Amino acid sequence: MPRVDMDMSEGRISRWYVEEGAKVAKGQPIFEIETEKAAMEVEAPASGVIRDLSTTLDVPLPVGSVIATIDDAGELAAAAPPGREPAPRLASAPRPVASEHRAEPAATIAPHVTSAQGDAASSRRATPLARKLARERGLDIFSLAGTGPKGRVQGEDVEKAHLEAKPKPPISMFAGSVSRTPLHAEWLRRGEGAPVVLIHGFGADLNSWRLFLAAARLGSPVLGIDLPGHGGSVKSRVASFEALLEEVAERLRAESLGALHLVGHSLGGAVAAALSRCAGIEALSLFLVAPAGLGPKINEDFISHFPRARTACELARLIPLLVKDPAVLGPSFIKATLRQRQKRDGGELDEATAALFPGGTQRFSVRSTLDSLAIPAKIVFGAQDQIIPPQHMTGLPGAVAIHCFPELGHMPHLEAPARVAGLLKELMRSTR
Amino acid sequence: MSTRTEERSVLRPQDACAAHRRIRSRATGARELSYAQAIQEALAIAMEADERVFLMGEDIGVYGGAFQVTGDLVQRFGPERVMDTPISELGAAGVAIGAALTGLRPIFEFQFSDFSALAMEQIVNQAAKLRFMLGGAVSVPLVMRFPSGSGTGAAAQHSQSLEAWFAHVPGLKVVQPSTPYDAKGCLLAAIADPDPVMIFEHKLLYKMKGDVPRGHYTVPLGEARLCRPGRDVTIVATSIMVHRSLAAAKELAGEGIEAEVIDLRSLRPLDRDALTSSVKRTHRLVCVYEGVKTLGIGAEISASIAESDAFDYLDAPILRLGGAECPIPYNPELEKAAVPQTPSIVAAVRDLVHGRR
Amino acid sequence: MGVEDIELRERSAAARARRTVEDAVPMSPATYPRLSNESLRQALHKMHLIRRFEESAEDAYMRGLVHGTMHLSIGQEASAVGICAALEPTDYMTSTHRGHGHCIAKGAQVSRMFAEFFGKEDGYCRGRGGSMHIADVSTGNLGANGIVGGGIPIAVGVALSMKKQKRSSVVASFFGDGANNEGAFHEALNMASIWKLPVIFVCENNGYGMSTSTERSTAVKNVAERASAYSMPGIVVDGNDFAAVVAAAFEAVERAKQGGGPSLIESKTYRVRGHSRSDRNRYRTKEEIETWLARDPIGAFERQLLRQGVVTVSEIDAIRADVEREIADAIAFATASPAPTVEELTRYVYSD
Repeated sequence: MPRVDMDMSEGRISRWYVEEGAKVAKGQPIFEIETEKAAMEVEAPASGVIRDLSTTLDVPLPVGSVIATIDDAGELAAAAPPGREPAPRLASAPRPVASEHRAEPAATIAPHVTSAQGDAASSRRATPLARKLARERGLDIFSLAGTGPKGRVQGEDVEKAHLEAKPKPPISMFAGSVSRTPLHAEWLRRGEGAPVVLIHGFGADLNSWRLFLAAARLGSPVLGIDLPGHGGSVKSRVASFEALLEEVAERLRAESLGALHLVGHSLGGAVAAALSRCAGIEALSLFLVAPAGLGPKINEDFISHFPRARTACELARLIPLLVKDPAVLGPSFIKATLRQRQKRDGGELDEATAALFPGGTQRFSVRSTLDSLAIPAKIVFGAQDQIIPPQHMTGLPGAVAIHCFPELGHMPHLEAPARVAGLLKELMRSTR
Repeated sequence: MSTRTEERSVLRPQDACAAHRRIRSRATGARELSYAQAIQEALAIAMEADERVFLMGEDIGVYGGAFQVTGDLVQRFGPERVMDTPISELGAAGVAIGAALTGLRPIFEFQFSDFSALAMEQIVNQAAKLRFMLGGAVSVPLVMRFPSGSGTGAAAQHSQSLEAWFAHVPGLKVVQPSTPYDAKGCLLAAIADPDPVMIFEHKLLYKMKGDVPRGHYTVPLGEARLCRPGRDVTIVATSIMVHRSLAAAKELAGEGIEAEVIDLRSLRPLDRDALTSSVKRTHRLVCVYEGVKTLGIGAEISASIAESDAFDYLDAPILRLGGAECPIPYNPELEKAAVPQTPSIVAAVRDLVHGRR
Repeated sequence: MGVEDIELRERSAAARARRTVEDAVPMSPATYPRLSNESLRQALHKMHLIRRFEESAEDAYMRGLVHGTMHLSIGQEASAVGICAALEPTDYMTSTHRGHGHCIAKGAQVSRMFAEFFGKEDGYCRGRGGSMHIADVSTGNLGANGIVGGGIPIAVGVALSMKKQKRSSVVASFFGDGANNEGAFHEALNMASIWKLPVIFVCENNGYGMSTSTERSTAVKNVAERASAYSMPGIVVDGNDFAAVVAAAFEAVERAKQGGGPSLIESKTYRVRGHSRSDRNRYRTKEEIETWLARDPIGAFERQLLRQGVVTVSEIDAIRADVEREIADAIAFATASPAPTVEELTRYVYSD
């Protein structure tokens, strides 16, 4: 019984591909083995004739027990000369089969298929990183397909296998409040590596990231998501921060993104922070731009008037609250915002305001999330922010990087997109 | 030309670095100097500030040094402090050691690093060991400068990169500044250092220009510098190879390969932490150096990674690009082929990242 | 300056060399115009101390207390003490692998020397150097050197340092006849001469570079003749004659202190023991060794001092007794001294 897994002590033969007395060639699959984790084929370590085939299927056999021998083809005709090594065996040493018998330490370091010749299958090529990741993910390195030179298993092969083998996310604690209509999300950029998920602020939508993305040139795939009651997700209503959060989490799980970078602005920042701790979301980093959820105050004037603004004039009055230099949010921003408003009645935003920001107060907090964060995080904000007081960004754990731009307002990612993108890229690099 | 900030800059992002540099530049009045001028300025600052400092070497006085590094310092400080020596590398090295032992701060220039072979006895057996042999009773605050490297058509005996020889000797410190900023800062740090410091200066760098702050500043010996962050592969380079690696990284970026480039700066002490932390992020390592590849600094870097906890993060074999297994030839094409060049770095890194190695 | 001094300077090097071998007539009292009787008694004390130190070190070696080899200078004591008698404590010295005598002559304590030989923390080099790197920086001894000729350029550098710092100290650079064929010797003498540096080059010619005689290794008859190539005075003295050595030393030191530059003194002597502990003495005859044993520098010096009335027999006995006590105390001190810890293996490679 070969060892095919690091922590395997016994295995079951699920089926034989050959019969007693069959002639096999080295490298030919001869039986299938099943462990707690996987089923895999075992190849013949040598050419010859199968003898003493163990017919017991589906019974746990200790690693190292003899399940068959392969007789050298010539060995049958001529008697083996005295003192000659026995024919190659599938197990490292013959030992009595006993179900409680544990493999000796000597056997535990034997390669997965032991062979007198030491064939290729017994020394699978894998990089140190692949081996490390396989160990951490509980995967058997020998069961993975290698895409590197000469079939070398590389880090990304393990990650790919891990994603495929990933268990389904656990049932949500907010299952009852989950909307039947999935949130609208859109791939804003194609690219390589872990994706970036962008979560906009209150009253905006995923299109609000486009200016930032144009300047950022991230190189990673970028997924924009519309919060409930916003953009293409107007059919979802916001009952509470938790409910909103769960909808976003559900939508992201459905994408099966694997490891991802979370980026959020304002309300989206709070959502991103909270998401980083949600089951089934594997966050690599957290990038919060003028995030909500770190203190009690929010500009009531803005919060109550912004959702209701229907004309360019009304919006233009609010723009100086958002950015230090109103020219940053020019006529195109106003036009886009108004176009979005026309698609709906505006009641969703009023509901959201009541649920999230009653009376100019932030009703939710993500501070505790940040206190015990295990991933790198950055907070970027402007000292001139008039929506969320910059003082909220103080008193955070030392591990969270704080970047304060003295000359910017509530939308640093639009006011200084290149510099903010630079910080995001720095953060993403730090996770590699 | 990138320079470093005062604190450890290894993990500082490019843009923040640039901003910081602009601020520094205003504060300290940085301006462009050539590598040779930066060294000369460091020498002048040190001699001005400390009368124990003096220069020794062949033709460093009125001639100004074979590469005009000392220039007209002799006019400013006089022949007593800018001392021409006879062509006696061994003896003069010993003289510098004796002076360093008894209160002076000699700065010794080899005309070509190749000539240091004549002085190995004094450097290796005396300078490096005296402090240890005498149980700490003395120290040897000696600085030696070695114009080195190929690319000048000077052929086999005037083109070598011998820094690894010296880096193999405990008791010596060995640095290879790659920019005018580092050339000045490392030299001033070396002069202030109580132990013998060997500075290897690539001859092709002498004319390279870069921002150099006015006044006194030091670059700590033993600290690598992150020149360019990247995610796909770490290129650890020394001396002129830093610039060739940066050019290669720029080219590779166009193909979607983001190479991190680290300027090792110091061979001894070796900044192993900077190397391991980078490799842990990029999972691939390429060493680029001009010295002969076999048993060179790349071997030490590779082994350091293999021995460290960064081993488990390697996702490809470690690659070394170093000098060919031959003396530096005269023919210009052969000379180029004898040491790594930008295209060879690009090709090797590309192959590595694409899993062809 | 006495008649003998003038005579010394006027004799040619070759004549002096001949005299060394053929004529061991003691100097007259006029030889010591610069040394008090007390200094002479101290010189005798140092010669005895060197002799007994080396004999005891040899004994300790044979009893397994000393690790590694050692190079004994038994028979060369007058040379070491004679040169150092002309030096001030502030003057410097570089030494050779055969450097125990130089070290004691310059003023080191035998207790710390034994401690070094025993590899102890109280040793002059904290047990890191041993016999071959014995040094005592506090008395200006920058160290014995394991490389033949290694200390010569360093001595020139120290002299350059003194000159630059306008300090009046001079440097004595001891080396053997073997070193006179090293490039470092020639480069160093040249530089000391062109820069007129206060160095006294002292070639202790004991006739052999390990097993190779000077006749077989050196193109000139006397190493002192090399001096003329570097435009400095060169003199041959009988290295077993304290008076001859000290006279030449004072003259060279004086020249150096007055800015006259370096001198080369060739001190012809003989090592009675082998090159190192592994020497089987195959390259020289018993007769040769016995001839030199008869010219033992300590006995000659004692006879001279007795004749001059500088010491009495009982004073000599007292000196010998003092030396025995000193040696016994030193060995006890060294034995009790702590050994360095392995944790400090790499300490002193760089400054802390």
